[in-house]
Amino acid sequence: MCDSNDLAHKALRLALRFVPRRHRIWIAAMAAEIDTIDVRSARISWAFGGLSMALRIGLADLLTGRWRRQGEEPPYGFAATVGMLLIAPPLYFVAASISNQLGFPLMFAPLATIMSRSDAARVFNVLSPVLFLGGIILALALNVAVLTRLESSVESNRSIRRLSVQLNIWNLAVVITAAGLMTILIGYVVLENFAMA
Amino acid sequence: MRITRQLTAVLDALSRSGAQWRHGYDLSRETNLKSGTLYPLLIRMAEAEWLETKWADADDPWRPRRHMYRLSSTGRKAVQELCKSKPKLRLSLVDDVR
Repeated sequence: MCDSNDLAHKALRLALRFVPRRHRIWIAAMAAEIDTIDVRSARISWAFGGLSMALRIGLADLLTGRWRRQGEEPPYGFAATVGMLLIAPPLYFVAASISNQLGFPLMFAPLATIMSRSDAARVFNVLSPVLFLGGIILALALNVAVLTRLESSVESNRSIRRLSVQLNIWNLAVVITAAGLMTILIGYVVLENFAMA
Repeated sequence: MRITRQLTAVLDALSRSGAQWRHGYDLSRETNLKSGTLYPLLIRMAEAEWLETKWADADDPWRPRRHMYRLSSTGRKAVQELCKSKPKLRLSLVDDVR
């Protein structure tokens, strides 16, 4: 059983993985405050605030390439994990829809229940494009940013740009899956709206 | 630096403390800002050199050292300029001697 103090420290230890070295001192500063917070809920809220800050900083630094500019290797595992979480909902949706079309409705049953209620279906129709496409685009951007490195230099008065690609299996898996899902979803939207017409 | 309501609250709390060192939880309680909002502001202020930071031993030897903050001279100048240019912000600056 872990108490709130342990949980708060664990959350901040996890947060340390998401931020570049120059920001780790701030996570350590937040961790140092935990023992002085008397109220249990305040302690948890404090630590999760640190975790959310670390996620925001880590994501922003990854997408802007700042991580590499500071001479650090980006957190490949973090990008792959976040990417997988982001593509999980659209992956489920696509897998359930395809299996339903093939005559296996088990995966689609929870979605069918949602769609059968008009209010829930309305919310789903509004949220799903944002959640699915937004998640896929963010997962792609995050993992492409981790895997690629663009360097520019001047040699013999000529500006040279060099693009290198790191082959990391989990990040590549996220990129390929996200690209596949994007193709399927866009293809479905195009077919449904234009081919029918 | 973009001056937001939250940043103004932190600047106000720090400028009212003068040369006294403050720690994060103390600032969070005074400004009603959650840690996820307060610390990004402290980071921005430190990067702009508005903030002095140090690690200090806690009163209780069993507790970890704490990170402490106060406005630097650049930060105090920035607050003075903000007081002049944006009087509506109601920043209070304590001119105590270091």
